[in-house]
Amino acid sequence: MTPGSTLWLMKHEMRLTWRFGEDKSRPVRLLLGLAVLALMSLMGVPFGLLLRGHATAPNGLSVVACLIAFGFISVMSFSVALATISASFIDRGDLDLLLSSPLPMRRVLTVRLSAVAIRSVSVWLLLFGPAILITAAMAGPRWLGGLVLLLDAGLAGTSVASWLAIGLFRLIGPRKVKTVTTLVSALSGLSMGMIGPFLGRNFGARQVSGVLPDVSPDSLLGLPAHVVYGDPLAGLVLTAFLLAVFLITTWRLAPTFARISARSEAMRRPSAGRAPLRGFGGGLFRLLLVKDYRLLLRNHALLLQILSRSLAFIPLLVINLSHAGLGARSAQIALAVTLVLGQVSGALVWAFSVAESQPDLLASAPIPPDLAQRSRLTAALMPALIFVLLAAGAVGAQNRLAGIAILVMATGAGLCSAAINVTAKASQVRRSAWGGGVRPAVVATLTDMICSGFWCGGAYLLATGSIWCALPVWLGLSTVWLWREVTRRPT
Amino acid sequence: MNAALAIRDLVKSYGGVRAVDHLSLTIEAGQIYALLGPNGAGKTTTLRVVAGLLTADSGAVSIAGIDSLADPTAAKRITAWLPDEPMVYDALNAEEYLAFMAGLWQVEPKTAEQRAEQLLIQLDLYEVRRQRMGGFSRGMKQKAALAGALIHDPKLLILDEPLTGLDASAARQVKRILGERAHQGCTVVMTTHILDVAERMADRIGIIAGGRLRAEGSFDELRTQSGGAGTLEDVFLALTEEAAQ
Repeated sequence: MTPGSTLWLMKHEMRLTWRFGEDKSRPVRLLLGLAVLALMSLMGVPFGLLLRGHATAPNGLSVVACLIAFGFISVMSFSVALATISASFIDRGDLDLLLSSPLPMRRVLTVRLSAVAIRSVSVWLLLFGPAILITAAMAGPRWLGGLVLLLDAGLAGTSVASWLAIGLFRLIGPRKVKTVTTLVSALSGLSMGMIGPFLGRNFGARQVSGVLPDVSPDSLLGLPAHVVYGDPLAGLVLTAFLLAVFLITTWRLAPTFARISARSEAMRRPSAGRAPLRGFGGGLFRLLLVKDYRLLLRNHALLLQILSRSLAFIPLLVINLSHAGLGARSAQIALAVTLVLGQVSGALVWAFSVAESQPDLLASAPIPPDLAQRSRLTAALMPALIFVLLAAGAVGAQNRLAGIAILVMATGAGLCSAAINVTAKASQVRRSAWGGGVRPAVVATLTDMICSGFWCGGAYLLATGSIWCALPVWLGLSTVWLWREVTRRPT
Repeated sequence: MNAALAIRDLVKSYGGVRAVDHLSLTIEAGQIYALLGPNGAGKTTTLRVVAGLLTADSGAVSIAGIDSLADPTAAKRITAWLPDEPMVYDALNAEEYLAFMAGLWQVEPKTAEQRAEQLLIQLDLYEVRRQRMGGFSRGMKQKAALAGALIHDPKLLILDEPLTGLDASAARQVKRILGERAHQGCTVVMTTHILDVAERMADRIGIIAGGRLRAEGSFDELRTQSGGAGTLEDVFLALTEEAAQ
């Protein structure tokens, strides 16, 4: 491979795009990835059985189904592409280096945008590809057309994401683009996650076909269905069209990305604030609390991560509540609220810990050793507890027992999650306690999830009036105690 | 009269590696003391123990008569620690940072405000005092961190490579401020790899290698100890190579 050639650049891009985490954890990640792929490929079995001997031409329903699938994957690809664009054009910060080399600027940026497209397509090919292969193995090779549709949807999503990113770069500048793209990416992913439960809840499986519009397979909208059904001409036409759109997009936008990246350093520089100095008065605890809130509220990336982590539970809540009978609804709500608020508390503690970038500064100050940690915990738990009170009040007005369940169990879940995250952060400093093996953050997340599960169980049982609610509470507290004992191991 | 900093038989190990090995030194008030040594000699570990960021395995550290290992909070009240990586919050502006630092050391607000303004002017940061420090250059961050370290008027100023990343003009400003502080009675202990700085600024120089103090004294005394070698660089190399052998 000639250094500086397009392929050489692409290899470099692929290495940067796909290299994350530490080498040490690669075998674990590989095993996890294979396990997920094996699970995903099992999805192909029911499809294979369903499509075996299925009619050779698409009908009205399958046209709409394929259109929805195409739209779904396009939006999800758009979401991944937008996140990847902001990561590779803003976070990586290597464009100055690449553009200062004697390589043609258009080549550098075309390769970078192509790498974005490859990543967003690969994600869905990896996720759904095995299932499509199983389906094709069981129902016939023409169903491999599904892979072509995945590729096309990926190209469509990336093209739209590229135009949107450029528009945002021009409109609001690179610093804010990162915030907006993360939000748009999370919301588009979320909206797709909501569609299934929404349709299921409002119409039921049989009624869905009744509310969908009737689209003729011979119209242009029938093209995705023809691709899935293995029509080579349809596949060729759609792929050629979307590839052309993508190449034109890349060709047109490459110089704009170059201009913007050249300006980005200057634009990254924050403007002078005009607000007068306030808030740093009072006692030490208040001083630290104000500092904690100020650091978090000015860290858009962290705020968005909390938001994304919280939003991610919404589809789960919708599914959970849509399947609940009327009698069990209050108990389900108690369970769901406990789950969400427990996780939000943990996320807030984690975010406040991450936002504190200068622990040595506090360690060198003449303040009690645990004061900074107490202020961080208070800062994190205050908003979560306000939500607990609001939720308990709202639900308690309908069902007193469910309100009490939320008050007790969501508070317990929040406190336990906070305790786990605080000790996890402290134990990161003593990494050797883990023998260089599993990372404390991973173990903390798993422990947090297990503990959260116990509190949710407790909330459900308490809301239904069962005295067995004490058992999961005891298990939850025991988990936290066990976690603390393990993390306290001497180095 | 108590020494500004007295270290006795200090030992600190990381796992099986002894970073500081029975180190003892005494620094009088108002002195500028440069701690020199090759990479991994134990300079930063020593300073981190003095600043209360690390606990010692054994030994004693006394700051103006306060046993800093027994009562770290009291010792920290009169100490400032400035590492080579400036400890500033990118999300705060310089003015907020100084107010926060003053709050941590419980400086009376009116005094803090006056000192902050004075330091910002002295360090050429006044015009950018309301800009968030995330947009500062490395040198500006270093100067802001120095202002933060000085806001409580410390008796002992511990600096690890204070001139790293500073341009010539900023380095001169910092050197001038350190000289003034020492003149006012503040003790300055610093590590540096710029031997010229140590030679020009320091009243006394300590050379540390393998966690032990190999030589100590004024530049002239060190030159005599090393057999009359020319510059501090010659003295440093002669003493550290001797220690390595």
